[in-house]
Amino acid sequence: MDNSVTFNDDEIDDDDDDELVIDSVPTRELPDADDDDEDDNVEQDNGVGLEGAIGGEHMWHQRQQQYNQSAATQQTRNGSAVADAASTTTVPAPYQCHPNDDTQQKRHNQEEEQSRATDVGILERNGRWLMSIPRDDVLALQQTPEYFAFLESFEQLGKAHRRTVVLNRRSFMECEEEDYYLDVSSSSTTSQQHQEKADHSNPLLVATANVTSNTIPLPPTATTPLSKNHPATVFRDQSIGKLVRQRKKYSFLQHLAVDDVILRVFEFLDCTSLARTSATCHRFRELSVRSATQRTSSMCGTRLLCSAMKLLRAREQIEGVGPRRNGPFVPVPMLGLSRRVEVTNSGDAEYNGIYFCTGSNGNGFLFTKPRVPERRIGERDTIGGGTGSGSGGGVGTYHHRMGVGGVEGGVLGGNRVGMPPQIVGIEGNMIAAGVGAGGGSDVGDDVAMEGEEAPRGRLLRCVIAKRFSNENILWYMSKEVEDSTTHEITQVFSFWAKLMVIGDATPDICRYPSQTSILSRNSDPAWQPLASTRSINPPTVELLDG
Amino acid sequence: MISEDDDSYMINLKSKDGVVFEIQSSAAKISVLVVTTIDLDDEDEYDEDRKPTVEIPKVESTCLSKVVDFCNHYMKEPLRPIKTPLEGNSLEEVVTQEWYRNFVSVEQSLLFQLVQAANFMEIQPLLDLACLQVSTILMGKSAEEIRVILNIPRMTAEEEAKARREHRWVFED
Repeated sequence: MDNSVTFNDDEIDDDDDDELVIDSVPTRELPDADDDDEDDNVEQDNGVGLEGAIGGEHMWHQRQQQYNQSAATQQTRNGSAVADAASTTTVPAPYQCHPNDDTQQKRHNQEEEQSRATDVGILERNGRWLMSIPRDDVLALQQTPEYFAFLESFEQLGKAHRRTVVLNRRSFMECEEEDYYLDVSSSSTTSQQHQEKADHSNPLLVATANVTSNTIPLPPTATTPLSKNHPATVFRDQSIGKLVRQRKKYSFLQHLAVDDVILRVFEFLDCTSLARTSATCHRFRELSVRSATQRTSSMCGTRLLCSAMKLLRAREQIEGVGPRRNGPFVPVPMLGLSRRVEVTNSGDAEYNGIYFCTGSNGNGFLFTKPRVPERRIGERDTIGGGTGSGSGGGVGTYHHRMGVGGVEGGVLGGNRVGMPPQIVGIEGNMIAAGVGAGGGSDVGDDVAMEGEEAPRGRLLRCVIAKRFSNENILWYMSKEVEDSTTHEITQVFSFWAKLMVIGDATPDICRYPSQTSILSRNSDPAWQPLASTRSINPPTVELLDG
Repeated sequence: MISEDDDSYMINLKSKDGVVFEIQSSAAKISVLVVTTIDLDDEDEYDEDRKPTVEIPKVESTCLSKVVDFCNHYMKEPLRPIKTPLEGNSLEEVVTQEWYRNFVSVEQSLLFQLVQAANFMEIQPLLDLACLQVSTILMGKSAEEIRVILNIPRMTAEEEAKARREHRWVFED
């Protein structure tokens, strides 16, 4: 009878031996489910059938006890050191799996998963309960004999953990392929074939086989001549057998690398890869969240997202609650427009791409995209390394030096911070800066809330923003350019377009850069080049996510 | 930039399995562990007949030899800083120096050992480079593929469901 275990998950890997790592340990008493609220909520929220959390827990444990006792008897009878769920030995009642009974098989699989979940959850729940004990209660507890018994047990558990970890580490670093099975281990053809298949199916295992001849010395207790049926022998053999298999399936990053190292690896991952990594194991889930938090801390800080209290104050300000004249006051965080802007068909390929609403200037929202990845502000080709991030020299500063119409790259008005420079548009109109103040306000720095120097390492951008042309306000497309010697950042304007009219488009749409499809309805020209870019094909601009 | 002219003597690095590697003190300075273990700047106490030896108990000889190669090469051609966000999705796009690309193009077990060694010996450029290589291996992979690559046992069912629920917008794509 084929009692091999199968799973429902579509993403199951082919290596069945993964399940061998998870052993079936003797039944343990569960603590009172006083703090199972989290699990209950999870179950209620998503319908996951965590039977062990409520209701059927007691019955489940009764069945588990029966199973384990039967399994232990079965294992000792077969002389096998490994008691695992994926074993092809006959499964004793009540989990007698009929080959054609998929439903019962699935239920068995789910219960195995839940048993593992419950085992792991026990420690977590106990830990949380310990941390929640009020300090005053601790003083009273210290007068009880159970308190000291607990401390002693806790210390023993710590030793057991350290012993297990050390053994596992030595297993990983030393021989992988030596035949380490104990005398009591099963050498049946089935398990050997199973193991061989597992070894060959895992390319990592095959590729990283360590061929050193060092073998792991057996624990002294392994040679103690206990009877095979003795519970201590059975449990020991099961544990050692589990370790024997575990050492062949060791994960370096999970168990040997410290958090800082893993965080350094995660620092290089993009968000999508980081999110997928978070779904691999518990440790990675926590570290991936921590990595994302670290990498967005400045963004959260400037937008008050890291302080619920400040957010609450911001909400009160919006709703008119609390003091209005005397503080405290906080800036109200604002969200940019959500739809993306797609630019295509531009003769200057740098402008093509997807733009996001990343800030605002005095005339409205502005939309940006990075020019090219290697165009960063304020960096010199420094060599020294060791920091893992660019350590440029001078900091790029914003100046309202703009390209002059008709003279590519030229400057009119000089570099005078605070003075509204002027450029000549295609019709000879003077185009003034939206806001004449210094700093990054005209470019709409999407990081700083106020005009500040451009942060080092920030990418140079293509920008779509409104500007005045004499008395007319128009959309302009420009790119940031950094002077290689002075590190001053200038904007070079390339294209312009009229604003969309309400009637041709809804007010919400009119907040976005003019769309070619809407401007063209009235036979109006859409985006057009400036005098300096007359030979360059103008872009097509459309909104996405409609 | 460290130049060979600054170096005046040799030191020994002893691996976990007892193999000794010689390295110039100027090259070894990249390791904070080595610097703190012996006073590399105090040349007055240097004895030609008794080179200082630094034991590296957590690093095997196969890995330590690679570390020594890295240190020696770094002295001649330092690794350019790795900027974040990365400028590409592959090692070739991010690391423009060919020698360093070839250095970390090794089998995964050795790569993981390099990560561990760099962390233990506190060699930041090597740690950055090795971690970058690990991350490029993980980029673009599904959760299941990452588990296979890193040999990670599965999460519990409800924990995996919770993780996927948290980042549903990623997994739906």
